[in-house]
Amino acid sequence: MSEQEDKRLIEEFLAGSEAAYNMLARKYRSRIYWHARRMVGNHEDADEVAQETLIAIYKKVKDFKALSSFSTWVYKITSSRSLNLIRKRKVKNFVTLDFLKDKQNKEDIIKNFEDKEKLKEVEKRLMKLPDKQREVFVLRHFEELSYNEISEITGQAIGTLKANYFHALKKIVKENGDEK
Amino acid sequence: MKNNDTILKYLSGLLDEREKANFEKELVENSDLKKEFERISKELDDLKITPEVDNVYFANLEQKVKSKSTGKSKTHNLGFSLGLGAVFSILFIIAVYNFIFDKSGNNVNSDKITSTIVLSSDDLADSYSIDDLENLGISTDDYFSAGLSELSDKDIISFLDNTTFDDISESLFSDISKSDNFSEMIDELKNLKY
Repeated sequence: MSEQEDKRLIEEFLAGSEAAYNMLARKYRSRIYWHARRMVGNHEDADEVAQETLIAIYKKVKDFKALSSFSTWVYKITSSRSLNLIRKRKVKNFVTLDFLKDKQNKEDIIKNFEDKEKLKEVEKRLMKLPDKQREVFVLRHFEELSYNEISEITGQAIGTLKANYFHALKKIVKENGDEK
Repeated sequence: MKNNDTILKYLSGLLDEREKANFEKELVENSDLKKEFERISKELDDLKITPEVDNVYFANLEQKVKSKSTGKSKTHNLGFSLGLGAVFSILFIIAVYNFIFDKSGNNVNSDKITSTIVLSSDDLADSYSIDDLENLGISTDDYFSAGLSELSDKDIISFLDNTTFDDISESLFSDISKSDNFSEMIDELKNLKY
């Protein structure tokens, strides 16, 4: 039903309906933001990725071939934009935890202080994972996607994804164990 | 530790069917394994927090995206750039023209000066910076992009400040107007003056 609804909205948008795009954007904006946020580790960069992704959807939806689901396509754009931004930041800033801390201390959209602190801890842990492991971990653990869907998004073989997920889990769990 | 690895392999889908069946059987029978499995599962679940966010953000996000999606990029709008170039060239010509009369008060043949500068206005649009224009008293928020400043405003101002045009002949303007660019034109004027 959801995929059919996406298909209908895409057709309407391509026929010129801005309202259809707005509905698509509203449906996916939160998922886009949170996937980006877990990938990049702070609000400011997640905001940039979310904007870029929504603009890309607006401009490139005509290229969407429906070979995969629309949501997979959206995750693919979000993931690749996130990884691009991470690479750009690494080149520019030599990403360190101090750098991340600076970013985390800037403007945020989390209302509750306690939630904000918890999220910071999660982000810190996620950012310690290599990018590819983090991507698989986020898509599987948070977005609860199947390996087949993640394979469509990342272009990686399922065996590689499982291995990456295993190593990510090992680091995350070890990390938790170390802190107790 | 061995248990941990098996649990993580199970969670990752790395166990084959037989290993998976054995693990699930042991999970029921072995209380230590079950306890460890539950601890790890809980630790992982605790990461899944999606805090309440300020919804204004998402409303604003839509607006920002909409304006960026439909808006035309300033830097890629050739028509706008050319128009802007033309406007600043004209402003520059007017400023220099006024400046000459304010500073010198001479009976310079204004048509000749203007025509000389007009010949160079295309070069200006390409090579002159907005800072330079602003230094000459033209106020603007925008700028021309490329290669500024071979030609400096100091050259122009110093020349204009110290020059009277009584001695500048018609033939001089004729020579100047043959210059390929504004920079050369100023150099020629300076050489002739000093």
